[in-house]
Amino acid sequence: MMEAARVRILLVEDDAETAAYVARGLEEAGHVVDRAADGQDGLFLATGGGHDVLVVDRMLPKLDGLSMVRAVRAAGIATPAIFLTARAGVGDRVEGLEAGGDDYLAKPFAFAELLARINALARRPPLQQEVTVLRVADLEMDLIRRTVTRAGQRIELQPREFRLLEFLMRREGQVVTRTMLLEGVWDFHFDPRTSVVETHVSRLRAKLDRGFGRDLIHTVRGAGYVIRADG
Amino acid sequence: MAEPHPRWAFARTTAFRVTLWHLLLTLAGTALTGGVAWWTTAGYAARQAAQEIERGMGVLLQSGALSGPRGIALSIEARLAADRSGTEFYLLAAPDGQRVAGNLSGVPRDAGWREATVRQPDGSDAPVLVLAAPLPGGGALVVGRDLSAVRALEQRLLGAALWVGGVVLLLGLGGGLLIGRSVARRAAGMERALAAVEAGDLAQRLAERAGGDEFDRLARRINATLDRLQALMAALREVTDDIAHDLRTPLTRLRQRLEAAARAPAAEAIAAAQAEADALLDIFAALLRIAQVEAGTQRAGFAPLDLSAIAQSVAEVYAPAAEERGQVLDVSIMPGVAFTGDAALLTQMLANLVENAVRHGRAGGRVALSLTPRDIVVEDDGPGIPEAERERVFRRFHRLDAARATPGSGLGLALVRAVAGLHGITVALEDAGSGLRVRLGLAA
Repeated sequence: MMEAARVRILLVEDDAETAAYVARGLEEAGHVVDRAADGQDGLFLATGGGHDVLVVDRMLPKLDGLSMVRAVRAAGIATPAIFLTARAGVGDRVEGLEAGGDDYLAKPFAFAELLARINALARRPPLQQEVTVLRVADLEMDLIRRTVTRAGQRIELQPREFRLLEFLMRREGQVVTRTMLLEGVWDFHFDPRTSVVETHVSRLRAKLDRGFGRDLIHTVRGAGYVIRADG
Repeated sequence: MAEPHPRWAFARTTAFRVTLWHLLLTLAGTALTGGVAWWTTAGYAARQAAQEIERGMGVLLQSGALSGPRGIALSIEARLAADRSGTEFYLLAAPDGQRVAGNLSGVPRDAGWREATVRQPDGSDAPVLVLAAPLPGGGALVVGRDLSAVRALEQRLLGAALWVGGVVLLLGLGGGLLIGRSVARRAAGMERALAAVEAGDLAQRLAERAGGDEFDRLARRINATLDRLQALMAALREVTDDIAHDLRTPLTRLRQRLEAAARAPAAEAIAAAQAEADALLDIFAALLRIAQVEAGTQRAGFAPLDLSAIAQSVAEVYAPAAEERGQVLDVSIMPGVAFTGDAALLTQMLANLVENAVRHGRAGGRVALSLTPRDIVVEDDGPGIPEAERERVFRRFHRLDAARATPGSGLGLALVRAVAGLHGITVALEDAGSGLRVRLGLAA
């Protein structure tokens, strides 16, 4: 997998086995991981700064995950945070986002899912400049006129296909999982049994890549999809 | 704590204590009224008598000052002659204590007021109020009035007061006992029923009367709480039963695959076991969600939302899937249908229904989704569901025999019903030619 950029991650998780498993995986992916086993240590390390992403379990000893992230935000630290939780309740996600979390992942999760989400958060572009045109190789998306062209040829997309492509193009070179697409494009916070994401992606792919020789949307086995210029 | 004998349980009831206080206050009020009556009648008559005595004494002393003891004696004779009622008493005594004039005998030792008893001509004793005063030249003057009438009035008043007080006391006590006992009886009934519930009989209910007093309202409220408790317990039991029955199969499969992988480790066998574990975790997640929705704790997250937008989104998500099966997805959504609820759950509910329709509908057939402010209808042209099966398909893990060979956990419709129930939406399964029509009634 080509995740070149090294990301510094603070992992706050009290279950030693999960923490070791997640840390090993992240380190294998080339990231640096600091670990804390309770909310107080987590808060202490997080306010020390220097992290690109916080991965915080919701149920922690001493100080729970929600309160910890709230305290981090109150200290003026905007490091993106992703919550891990064993509770997959509907209201819990909203609660996590309201506490200052940027993403929310229910346990048990596939490691590839966590990795993709961490990468997405770490490389989130700074908000100050609004891009109006997205480009990947010869594919161009005009966000204002809402048009898509490839090698100068107009490609007609339905609104939902446009959103799907925009979601991928804004994360060029990053793996985007099925779940991230379901949440980000269709606002589905559950896993449908039918392979709807696959169907949508393959239809989009057919429109984008057919007749242009080079495929832009690639399937990453066991993880998701990525859009990038090089084969 | 020692329980008092049940017969006396009423004595500890609130109603009885309230009655007792009420009784005390009523008695105090009655006593006050009686006191005032006394003051204005018997008291007045006694004061009247004292005033007459003082006036008579003043007049006699004046005539004594003008014409000496002789004058006083004459005045006394005249007054006694004029007193027909025989209620006036006088005595003029010489310095040696001898009676000079009047109808009393014996001079009191001290000057001033006192009460005496006078033997009447008819032989009876009469209470008399007397005032004695020394005379300037020696001797003494005594003036008195008969108090018999005042005493009689006092007797009658006292008798009346005792009667009234006794009746008030009896009525109050009796009322208190009756009220206290009735309250104690009803409270004891409630207590018995709740004790039975506590002991495990969740079907036990409090007696409700048609009337609407606070006990009936309380009983209704408690019964509603018990209904909810019973439903929750039933749901819990159903979930545990379901889990016990239906998770055994996939767990056994998982175990077999792991066994095979242990004998001959192969990436394929491990991947298969992993997929099995994932499927199990999905089932758990779905079960938890259904349980959570059925518990009804999520209404706090309800917000106004655009149901049309949600339906549109679901239709768009499943359009390619329907197309792949050669189906026409016929969408007719009235725009701007407002609803209050949980957007994520409503999305999942609609997605489950459309997904079912696409999967079970005839390949190359037609799936329809329509939304009006009145209802949501999802229709397919598949094999449908036999009438006898329609109630059962909503149960967890229930799958029609025809569907057993296809993947799926049998939890989709259970979630649909749970979400619909949470939102007060009715779910009806109907015949649609050959297929199934699911009608969600929005208007409560």
